[in-house]
Amino acid sequence: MGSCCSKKCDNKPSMNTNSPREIIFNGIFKNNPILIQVLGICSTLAVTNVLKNTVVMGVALIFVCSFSSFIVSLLRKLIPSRVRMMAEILIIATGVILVDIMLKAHIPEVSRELGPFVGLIITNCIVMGRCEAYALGNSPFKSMIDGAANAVGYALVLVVIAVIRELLGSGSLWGVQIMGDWWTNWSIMVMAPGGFFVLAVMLWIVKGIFKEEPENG
Amino acid sequence: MSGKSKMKQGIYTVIFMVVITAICVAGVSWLHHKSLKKITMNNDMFAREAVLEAAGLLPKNRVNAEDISDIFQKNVIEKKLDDKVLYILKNGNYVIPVIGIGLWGKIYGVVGLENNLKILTGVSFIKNEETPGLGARITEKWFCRQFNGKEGPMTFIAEGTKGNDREFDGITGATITTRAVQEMVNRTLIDAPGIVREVNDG
Repeated sequence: MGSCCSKKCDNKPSMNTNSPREIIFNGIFKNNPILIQVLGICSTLAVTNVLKNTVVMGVALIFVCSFSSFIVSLLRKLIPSRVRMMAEILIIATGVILVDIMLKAHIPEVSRELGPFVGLIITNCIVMGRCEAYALGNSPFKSMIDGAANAVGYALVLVVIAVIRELLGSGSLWGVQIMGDWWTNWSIMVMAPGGFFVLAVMLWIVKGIFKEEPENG
Repeated sequence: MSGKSKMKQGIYTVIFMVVITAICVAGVSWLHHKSLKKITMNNDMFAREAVLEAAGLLPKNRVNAEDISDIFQKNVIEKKLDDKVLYILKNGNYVIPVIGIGLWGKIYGVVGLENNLKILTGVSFIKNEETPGLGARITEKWFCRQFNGKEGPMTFIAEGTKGNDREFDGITGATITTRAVQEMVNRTLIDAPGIVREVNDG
C-alpha cells in the first residue's frame, strides 16, 4: 500500500473556491483519482475481475468517501494538526465498518463474496487523500461533493475495467453468460496480472489522448 | 511557545482523540448490536441452504429464507456431539460438514451421502475465501451438481471434459482450490462411517 499512497503528499490542503459543478467535473474527469492521480490502485486490481463485486465496491466507496470527507470537514477547525491523520483514519474506519455491517445484514450474498475487500476500503488512498487534500480546507458541503465526485470517478473507471476483465476472463457479465460455447476464457484476465494489463493500457490511452502539460513539471 | 500553552495544547489533543474515539466506538457498537441477530440469521440461512443443496432437496428455482427454513425443518434433523455436527435426513441420507484448506483460507462445505455412505447426493459450500472468478467458482451450481450420484474416491480432470463416475471437472486456473475440494470430498467418504456411528451412539 505504501507506494500508492506516496502521491497524495503532493496535494497540500488548498483553499479552493470552485463551484460544485467544477468540483464534480474535476473529481470525475480532469483529476480522475485512478487515471490522473493514480490513487487507489490496490483495490482496483483486486475487485475488478467480477462486475458485480466492482459495482458494490464502487457504491461502498462513494458512501465512505463522501461520509468521511463531510465529517472531517465539519471537524476541521477542531482537529489538532498533529493528530489529524489519526483522526481521519478513525473516521474513515468507522464509516467502513458501518458499511460492512450493513452489507452483512442486508445483502449477505454480496458481503460473502466481497468479504475482505470491504475492510480494505480503509486503506484506499483516495479516501484519505481527499480528506487531506480537500476536506481539511473546505466547507462540509463542498467536501462531501468532492469526496463523492472522486469516488464516482473511481467507480466509473473500475466498471470499465471490470467489464473488460469479466467478459474476456469468464465470458460473462454480472454472472450472465454472454459468450457462446466457441469462447475460450482468458484465465489470466481473472487473475491479478490481467488487472495490471487492462489498467496499464487504459492509463496509456488516456495519457496519450488527454496529455495537456509536459510530464516533468 | 511557552511551556504552559504547549501543555494545554497537548491536553487538548489527548482529550480530542479520546472523545472522538469514544463517539466512533459507540456508533459502531450500536449498529453491530442492532444487526447481530440479522447477521447470525443470515449465516444460519447460508448453512441451511448448503445442507439442503447437498441433500438434493433445494428446489431448482430461487427460494427465499422462509422457504429454506421451512424445508429444512420438515426434512432435516440436526445432531450435535461435542464440536461435531451431523445432519440426518428423514429419507435416511446424511449431510456431513467438512472444512478444507483452500488457497487463501478455509473452505467450509457440506457433503451429502446416501444411506450406505458410499454414493454422493451432492456437495455445497457455505463459506470460502477463494479468488472471485477463479476458485470462488466452486460455489457455482454446475460445479456442485457434478458430484450428484457419483461414487468416490473422486479425482479431478480438466474443465470441460466429461469424466466417468469417479471423476469431476476441475476449474481452470484454480488447481489448488480444486485439489482442496477433492481432498474434502474424499476425506468425508473415508470418515463418514466413523462420524455417523459416533454421533448415533453419543
